[in-house]
Amino acid sequence: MQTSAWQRFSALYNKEMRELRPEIVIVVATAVLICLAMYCKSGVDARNLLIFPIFLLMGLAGFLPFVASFKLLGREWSTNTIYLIMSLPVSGEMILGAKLAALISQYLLGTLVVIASAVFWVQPHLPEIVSSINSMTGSEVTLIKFIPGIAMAYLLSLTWLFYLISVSFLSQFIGKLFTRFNGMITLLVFLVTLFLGGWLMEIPRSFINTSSSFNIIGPNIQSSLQQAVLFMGVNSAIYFVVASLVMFISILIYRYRVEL
Amino acid sequence: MDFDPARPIYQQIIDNFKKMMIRGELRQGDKIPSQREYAEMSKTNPNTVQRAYRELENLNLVETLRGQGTFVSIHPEQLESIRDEMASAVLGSCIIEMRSLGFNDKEVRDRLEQMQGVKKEAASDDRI
Amino acid sequence: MIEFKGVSKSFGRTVALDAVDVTFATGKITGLFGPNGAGKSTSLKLISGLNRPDRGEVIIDGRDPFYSKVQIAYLPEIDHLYPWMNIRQAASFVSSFYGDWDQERYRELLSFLNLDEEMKLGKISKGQRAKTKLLLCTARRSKYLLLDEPLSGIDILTREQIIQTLIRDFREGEQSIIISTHEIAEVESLVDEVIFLDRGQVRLQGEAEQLREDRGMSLVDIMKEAFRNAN
Repeated sequence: MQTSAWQRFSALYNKEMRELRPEIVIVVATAVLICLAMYCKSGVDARNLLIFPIFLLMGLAGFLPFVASFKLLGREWSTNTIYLIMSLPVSGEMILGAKLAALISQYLLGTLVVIASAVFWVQPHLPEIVSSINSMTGSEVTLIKFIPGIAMAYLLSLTWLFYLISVSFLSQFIGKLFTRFNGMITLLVFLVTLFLGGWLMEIPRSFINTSSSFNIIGPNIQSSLQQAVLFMGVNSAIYFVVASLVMFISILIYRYRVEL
Repeated sequence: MDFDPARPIYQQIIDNFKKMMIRGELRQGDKIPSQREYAEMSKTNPNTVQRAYRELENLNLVETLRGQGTFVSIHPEQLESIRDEMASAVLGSCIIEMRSLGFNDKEVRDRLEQMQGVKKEAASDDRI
Repeated sequence: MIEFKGVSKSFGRTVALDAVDVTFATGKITGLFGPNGAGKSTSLKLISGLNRPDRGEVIIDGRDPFYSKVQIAYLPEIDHLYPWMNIRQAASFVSSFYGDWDQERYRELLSFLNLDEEMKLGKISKGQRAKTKLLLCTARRSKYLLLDEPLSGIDILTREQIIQTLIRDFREGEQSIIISTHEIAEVESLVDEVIFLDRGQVRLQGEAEQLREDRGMSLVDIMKEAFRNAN
């Protein structure tokens, strides 16, 4: 007599996306406006100037989802909708999972739109940039070789976001266990968890560093690129695992400790 | 339909039906509302209505035909005995009440005649 | 069946429930009465899984309340719906979680309660919000229906509609309804069973009709007497 897990998850996910609509719209609209501004201003100098707002917007697009993680969870309490959520026949995994999925979607949408805008404008200049890098380092690498590195860097940023969001959820839940000073407690738990998480991540990192040789400053740029991709891949995996652990603890706290 | 909250409601439902039968408002073969309809009309708990209807069936005042509804199934002798029973109940409590106020039985009878006379006069005045 | 076995619950220094042993009758409408702070809302929150007892157990159909959420329709006293949703969105959201949602009944209740699907929950009157909360609960054929002060602060006509809706859709014998309210007079003819709570303890419990027969008083007066004796 239960509806399907997919139905429940979609309902939660769509609701979260609707809550994030203002943030997503701001980033996408600003990116579009900057593109329009670039389109209207002819002249290379003007165009180059507008690259700075693109970078700023990129930072915003990357940072907003983390900020929104406090809004998505905190708001349930401030608007009392937590009464609805807690009475629904859904597990904590689904509730937090839907919020996480929505925040990642926000990140993907925001960053990809900004990256697309940036690439669109930089595109004609790309061959110059690549050849100047080549002349600096004295090697012959085409643009294509950079793509795995860029993709892996993006993946790393995603796992880093996942980690930040899970720490945010954990600290908010623990904050909610106290009737007073929950703001301070949330902040404290957040910082402490980041610290503990960082310490925990050192263990696999130091193990890898001693066991193999990571030389990014290598013989040529090609092998450096490969090393960098590997390095970022391993770190992504570590962030992913620790983030999952933090998420798991948050789910347990929701299931066994959080009350109204 | 307002019920007196100080007395069992299912009993009041039964009494209401009895009164309607005595007054001739409900006759043999007439259909009474379904339990659900009655509950909605009177804003009463369906369980209470169910209890009343069951009791009415036990008293052989109504019968339920599957798929058709509940019908009055009362015999003239039953009517008489119910009328009798209700009259005794009303008068009985009246007499007890009056006695508790200190009236003796003769005073009660005199008062009764006086009030009935007044009412009769009032009725005939209306006709003139 | 819902059972409380030695249930105690405190919030800080306030004792909401004190070693309460109670069984809520199945298939009946139970009135949970008592003054403010008696523990009525807390009881309903414990059943819905929004709180956990400090001591004792809440058992629903032999299990922890966590497993029974799918069979419970809970109407809290506060406004707990998303203000940016309209009624249609709220219904679509809620119905995604319950297999017992009845779309036809939803449509029918919508017109019976004079509600417009396009109404935004954050912008409607208190009475309409109360009706919406009721709509979302009663459009489901749930096994348990918990109502926390469904009539508070509602105008008389709306109250009538709410009571009518409850009677109309009550599946006696199958469904158990618990109504927590101050307005005992309003629900005199609605409840089968009553539980009087005062300061976290059960003062009186029984069948409404039996209490009336035994004491020759209305539930309102019975409660007044119970509290007078307790103080």
